[in-house]
Amino acid sequence: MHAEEGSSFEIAVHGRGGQAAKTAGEFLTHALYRMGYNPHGQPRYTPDRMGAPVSYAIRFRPDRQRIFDRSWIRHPQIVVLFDVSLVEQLDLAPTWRPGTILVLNTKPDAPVPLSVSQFRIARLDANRIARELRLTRGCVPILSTAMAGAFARVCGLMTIENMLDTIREVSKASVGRYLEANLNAARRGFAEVALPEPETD
Amino acid sequence: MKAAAANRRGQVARMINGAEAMAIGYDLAGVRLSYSYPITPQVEVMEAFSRNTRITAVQADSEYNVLAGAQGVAWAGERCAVATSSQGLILMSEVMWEVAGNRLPLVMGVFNRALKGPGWCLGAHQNDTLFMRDTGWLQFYCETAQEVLDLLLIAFRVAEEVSLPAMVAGDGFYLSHETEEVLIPERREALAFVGERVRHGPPMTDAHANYGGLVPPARYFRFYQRLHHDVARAATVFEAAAAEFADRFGRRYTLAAPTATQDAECVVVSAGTICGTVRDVVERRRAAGDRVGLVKLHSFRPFPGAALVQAVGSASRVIVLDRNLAPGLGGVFAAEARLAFRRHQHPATIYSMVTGLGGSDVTPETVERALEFVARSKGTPPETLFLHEGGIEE
Repeated sequence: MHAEEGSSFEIAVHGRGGQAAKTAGEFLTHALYRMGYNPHGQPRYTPDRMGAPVSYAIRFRPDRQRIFDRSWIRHPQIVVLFDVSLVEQLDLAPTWRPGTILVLNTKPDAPVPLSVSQFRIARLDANRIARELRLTRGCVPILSTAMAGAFARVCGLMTIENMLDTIREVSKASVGRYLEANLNAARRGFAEVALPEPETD
Repeated sequence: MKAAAANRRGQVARMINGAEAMAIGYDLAGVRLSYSYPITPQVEVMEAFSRNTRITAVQADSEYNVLAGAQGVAWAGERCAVATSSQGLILMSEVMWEVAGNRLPLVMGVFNRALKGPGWCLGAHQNDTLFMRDTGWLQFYCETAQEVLDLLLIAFRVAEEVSLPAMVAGDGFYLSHETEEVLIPERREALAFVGERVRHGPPMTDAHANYGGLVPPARYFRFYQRLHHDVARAATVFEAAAAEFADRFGRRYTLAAPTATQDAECVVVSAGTICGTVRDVVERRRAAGDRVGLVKLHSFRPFPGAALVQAVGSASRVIVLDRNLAPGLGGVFAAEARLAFRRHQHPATIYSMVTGLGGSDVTPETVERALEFVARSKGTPPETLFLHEGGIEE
């Protein structure tokens, strides 16, 4: 994790309505809180639902102090990306810095679009995990827990146990009904995410 | 660190959003009945009520009847939860006057949202609550989810002591939906602070009482004269209640809360979540040696003019950031601030900057831009400036 002392650390989650990106954002926020940070979790969505872009941003200070700034985050150090097509649809890449890490839901052998190839990419086939664990609504895989597990590994700030405890604690409604499958998805996300190459500068 | 926070006077730290904080505030104030009608972004509050088994949540058929129903509960001498936003609030307009006119101490939570002008816009924008300026309702504004909970409890105290209704307002989405740490007071402590609801002769109990009928002009005149003084008096009542709140819960609120204003040359004044972003900038600027400060207004009615002028201290330039607009006049808080500065003969130059309309984001860079503009500016500034991410315009 790279952030100057006193400055804020920012995380962006981008998904589409139905993929449970907002739920993932809540998991990340609560998981950071459990680690002693004092984050703000900012969900953002439009009145549209299924398929529409949904975002969630998290801001906290590495020195664990309170954060006051409430503006929308602009330069995330970590981006949790449920659907790579959002990068172009929302024109996201220009706001990212060269060292930004993308936790990307993608097939292992799928080519990475040029627009994101310059960033440090942690790949996870979260769709496959969700399908295999039957975490789907209709044909839409529900990715919150798999992506949260991958985030827990990539951010380097917590153990998988911390994320599992968070999921147990804050799960509501549907996540709670399928708790075991969701915990397994988080475990697999943590285990199967391919970490990015270390920074070379 | 968390353990220490959790142990503070029996308060429990939880990660919740402002909507949940609002619902918890009502619950802690002993409210057992809520009237509401769903509207974005208030609907999160309704969801929280529906999960709370201590509160009976009634969905009325419109916001008009939400307030009419809640008025009945208040007449009966009970507390009632009411929460709304935007169009929902303005649909209540007619009843708003009646509630204040009947001196009923309802406390309403509002998550500010833009009104439908050229089309729908759901972002934070304070003109819904400010539209109620002259109704006689008190208006308090919050920066954090913690303040939503705390000011709600304080509002009950103030409203019931001066027999006037009060709104507790927070920027929609920024507060209603953001998850953050909130210290939840212990139930018994909160109830002890809010106190028993005192009933002043409800209908059908006093002889010779007449409600809702014709009021002769001279009596009507007298009535509003008294209401005016009671709104003003609410400032003193607020400070006393806030002092007791600080004793019990360790958080001190004032109507105009200063940050780093001592020896400041330029002070930013605002209300709502923008204050958090400004505070961040002020801290950074201070660390770099710039003499800048912030005054957060917690109240619009009563307007804390004297407290504001005092909090600004000897600053020669004051920027008022308004997330609202009175077309043809400018920022609403700025207009009131101008009156206060003149009345208290403070010579500061006032820069009224309207910003963040429709929930447009106010970033640290936006605030920096305002500070730089003012530092460079000479002479009398235009009456109103529009501040957005792209620049500053008249």
